Amino acid sequence: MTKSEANYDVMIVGAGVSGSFIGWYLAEKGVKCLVLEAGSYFHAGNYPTNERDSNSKFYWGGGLEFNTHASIGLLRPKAVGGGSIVNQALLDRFDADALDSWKNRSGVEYFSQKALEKYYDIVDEQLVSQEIPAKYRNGNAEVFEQGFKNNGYICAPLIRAQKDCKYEDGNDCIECLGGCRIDSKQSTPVTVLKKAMDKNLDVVPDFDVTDMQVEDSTTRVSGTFTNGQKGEFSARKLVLAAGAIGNTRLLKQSGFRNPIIGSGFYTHPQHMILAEYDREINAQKGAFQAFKSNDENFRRDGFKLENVFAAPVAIAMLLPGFGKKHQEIMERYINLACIEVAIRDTNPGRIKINKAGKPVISKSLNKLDKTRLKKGTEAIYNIFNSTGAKRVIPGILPIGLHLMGGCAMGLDERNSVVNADFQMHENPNVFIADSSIFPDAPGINPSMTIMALSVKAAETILQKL
Amino acid sequence: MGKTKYIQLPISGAQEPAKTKVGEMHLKGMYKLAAVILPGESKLIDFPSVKPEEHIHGMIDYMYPDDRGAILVLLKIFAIVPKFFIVFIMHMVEAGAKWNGASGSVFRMLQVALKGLIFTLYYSDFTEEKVIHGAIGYDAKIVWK
Repeated sequence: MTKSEANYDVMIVGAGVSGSFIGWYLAEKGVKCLVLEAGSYFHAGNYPTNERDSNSKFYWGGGLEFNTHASIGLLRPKAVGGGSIVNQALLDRFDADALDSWKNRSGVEYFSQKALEKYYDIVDEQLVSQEIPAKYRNGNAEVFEQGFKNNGYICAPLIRAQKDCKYEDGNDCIECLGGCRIDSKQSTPVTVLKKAMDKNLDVVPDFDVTDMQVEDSTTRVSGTFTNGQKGEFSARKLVLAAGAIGNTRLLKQSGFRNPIIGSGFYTHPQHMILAEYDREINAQKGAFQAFKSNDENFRRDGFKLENVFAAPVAIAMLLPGFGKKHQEIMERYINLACIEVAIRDTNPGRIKINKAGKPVISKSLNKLDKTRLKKGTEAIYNIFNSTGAKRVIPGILPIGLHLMGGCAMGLDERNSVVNADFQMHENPNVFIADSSIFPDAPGINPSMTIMALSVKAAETILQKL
Repeated sequence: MGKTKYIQLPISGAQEPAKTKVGEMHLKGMYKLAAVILPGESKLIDFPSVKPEEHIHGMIDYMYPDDRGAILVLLKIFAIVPKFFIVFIMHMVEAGAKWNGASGSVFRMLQVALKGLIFTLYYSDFTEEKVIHGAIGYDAKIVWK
């Protein structure tokens, strides 16, 4: 099938969670869409089966990027489906606290649970979500739940976008960090993107957009395929959905001048803390991730705890040291448990782009962030110590997986990049709706709200076509 | 910007990046580094047994060019320096990575780059019998029915 420039009404840069939902909504309404994605198109038949490929093929920079002090490793998904392929599909609606903060910061009235409920509901209809059945929780989940009980903390089962994981057959969801090979995880290529591709949406993978020109009637983008071939595409309207770093990079490289672009960058810095037990934990088995903290005190103190683990390469990277001692801990892999603290960071970072097009990210923790991290870490130590851990081993590599901000939404163009209609102040022909428009860090898993806001954005775009 | 080009859709299969040139000196340096990071004095098999030279491209070809270039330079240096020097460097890296702020940044980058290279090629376990995963008890799987 050959496609030409004149065919598309809307061109979307980025086929992650946001781009997929915008494309789906518009395609359902008969709008012809083109989605351009720097990463590859993977599916159940060709997902990587080893950690090397999961890391190198699914993330920018071949796995990790860093802030300038290399104190936070940034995991930036790069694939059709984006974060919905590699994350653990946690679905949470934002609470009043997160949305009130956004409303105060941006002046946008619809940042409220009531106003967004309709869009959350639309998202819910497109995904199957489940709580992990108790009988499929693994030893790591038992440590988490028991430790919470022992210390008087409150936890809750996670709601995950998944269906029919066939745990009874012996499936282990940790494998799905590299893409779910049985299509149980409700990633966008098996949900909304699939529906859209059956209608009016085309996806061009392996194409990195590096420049754009926006006029009233036509937008044009150019870039390079992974194999080095150059390409150009055009459509009537342009939507940027390449994430906090991707959108910033494209806007700066294309000559946009708003100094706010790239500022207000948040990551929910996450520290994974391991503990060694005499007994087998087998954190790699079964449902993998089953609980989260649901404690008002934790929320007030600006952190959350999650029941996580990782495959061998990632665990090896988290462990301190090298040589024989490191190998000895790795040999006790099945005796390790892990809990992660993610903080609601308050110190905004800044994204710049160097001459080679590589992101240069200034991001650090302020005193309040460090206090939040300390409190969350103490809670984890309490959990491990109350459940018989032999020793606690803090992971040495903090990560940022929720990459937010850089193109914040707001009514005042002096401190924001897009208006309440998801249009750039600097050029209203460019729409942005992904995590880059977040005014600050919500402290809650952002996926579902990205989806909901993307549906709302698509509704607006449709009206303006 | 020139005339818009036409492309064939759908595009089948993932495109591969250009292959990096990895020479004998790079491989020699990698083996010497691995002998420090993964000495193999345990029930785990040694690093050369995973034939890392066959799997390195699936990793470094995807890196940013300047990151890749820096790693390849380091491997060349490791190829010519004595082992005790690599041990010294690794101890320095581990200690320096704990320093806060800018002073520790180079060490943290080196820590991830050097350990990341060796651990990725090793613990991804490219052996047919999955002997490394077997030795550490990693038995996660997806069952096809």
